Amino acid sequence: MSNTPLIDELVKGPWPSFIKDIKRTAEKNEMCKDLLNLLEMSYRDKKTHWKHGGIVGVRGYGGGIIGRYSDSPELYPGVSHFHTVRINQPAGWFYSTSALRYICDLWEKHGSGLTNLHGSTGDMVMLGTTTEHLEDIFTDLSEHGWDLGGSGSDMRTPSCCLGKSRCEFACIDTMAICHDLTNEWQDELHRPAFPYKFKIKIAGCPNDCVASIARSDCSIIGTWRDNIRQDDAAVAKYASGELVYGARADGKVDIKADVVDKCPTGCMSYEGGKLSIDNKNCNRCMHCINLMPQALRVGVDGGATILLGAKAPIVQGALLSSVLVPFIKMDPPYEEFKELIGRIWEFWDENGEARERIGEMIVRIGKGNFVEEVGCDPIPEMICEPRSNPYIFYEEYFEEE
Amino acid sequence: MATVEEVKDYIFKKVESYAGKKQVKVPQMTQDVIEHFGEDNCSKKDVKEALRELIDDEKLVYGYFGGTTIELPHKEGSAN
Repeated sequence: MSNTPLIDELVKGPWPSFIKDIKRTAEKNEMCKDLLNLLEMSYRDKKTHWKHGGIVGVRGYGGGIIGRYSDSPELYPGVSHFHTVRINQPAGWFYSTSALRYICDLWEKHGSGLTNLHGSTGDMVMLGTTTEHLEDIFTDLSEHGWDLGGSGSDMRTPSCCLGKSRCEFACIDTMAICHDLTNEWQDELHRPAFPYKFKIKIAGCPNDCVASIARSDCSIIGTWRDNIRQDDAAVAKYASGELVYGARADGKVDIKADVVDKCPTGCMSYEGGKLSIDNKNCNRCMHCINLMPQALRVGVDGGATILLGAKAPIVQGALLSSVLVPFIKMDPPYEEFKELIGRIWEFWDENGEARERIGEMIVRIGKGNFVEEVGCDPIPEMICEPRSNPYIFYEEYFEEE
Repeated sequence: MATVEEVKDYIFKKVESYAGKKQVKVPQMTQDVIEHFGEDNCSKKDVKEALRELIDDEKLVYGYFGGTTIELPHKEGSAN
């Protein structure tokens, strides 16, 4: 009989199983055998047997290594240390096969052989090594042109969608921005000095394939400020069924029902076979472009919308990010954006409480106050929810007092 | 103006006095140092530089206990 009956249940069924992966790796790695036993014990006891945190790291770096210790080293010595190493992924997650082979070989040499590509921040995550191996891993990685990612109270490894490399919707060069910001803010990435973590994600268009609006403290989302490019001949082909869209059973697009009636701002009309768009009232939701990509295209005057404040529930509940700057040009060297982030970090540094994400601070002090402090003018696009306080106090009111 | 050596010395002694009692984070330490020397004599940049040297010389190390801390190097209990 197996000595891991509970986790063996997770191997049954047609879906991928991380237990299956660990068992396969355990055939040639002793750490993984103890990992399975420790995991079985956690399932049996209904509690974790990992201790999180500590002072492990490599010289000069405050991020990139996450300490993991087991609370039962005498039972399972193979996983008494089982630290995680985060490796800064290339922008857009493009790898050569030789690069991936190198990473796998490195991890079989120095660690458990288990990897997680990719963590939710975007890094390549190497699971399970011991303190003695850390400096060797770091030296080896550095010699091969890799670097560690972020962890702790620092700027986390910026990540982006593949942008202009493969996507016709991209309004900004996400990969170039990601690469530049990563290099610009090396200190912020490797030497944690913030009240808590700060994540940056860059999406090429409002489809936001990297889910930056939900998963990053600062979302850079590509958009455009001119008009949607429209090809009337292609619109007619969608209407006739000559061009099809995959979401409907027959592939046809009903322009009135599927496109115009679902426009969130009602800025489109379709009469007499003519599609009209009131671009001033378009909020760049991408719905029409996604449905008829050969007829409608993003504008040519590209830039980005900057949003702040998203986070998953950890200390407090989840938040979505909200608009700070509706449109900013994102051309190298991105000075305007970098200056804005510099002001934001400065204010957060001085006013953020310990373990308070920037979104939580904005909720605590009020967005109006935050906007004023970071030197932005208040505009309607910044409103993230209907007001709950019916009273309006004008500054003049206070002056008269 | 406070010299980098003076700032380093102040930070190190503070962290030393906290050892085993309190875990100090960089923003707190930065505010503490600037208050001590005065805004006219010490900037955030000075504190950053001092911390960089202390970390690079391994006089202090980063730790993580629900947020990043700065500490004296030591062998933690979990590693035994």
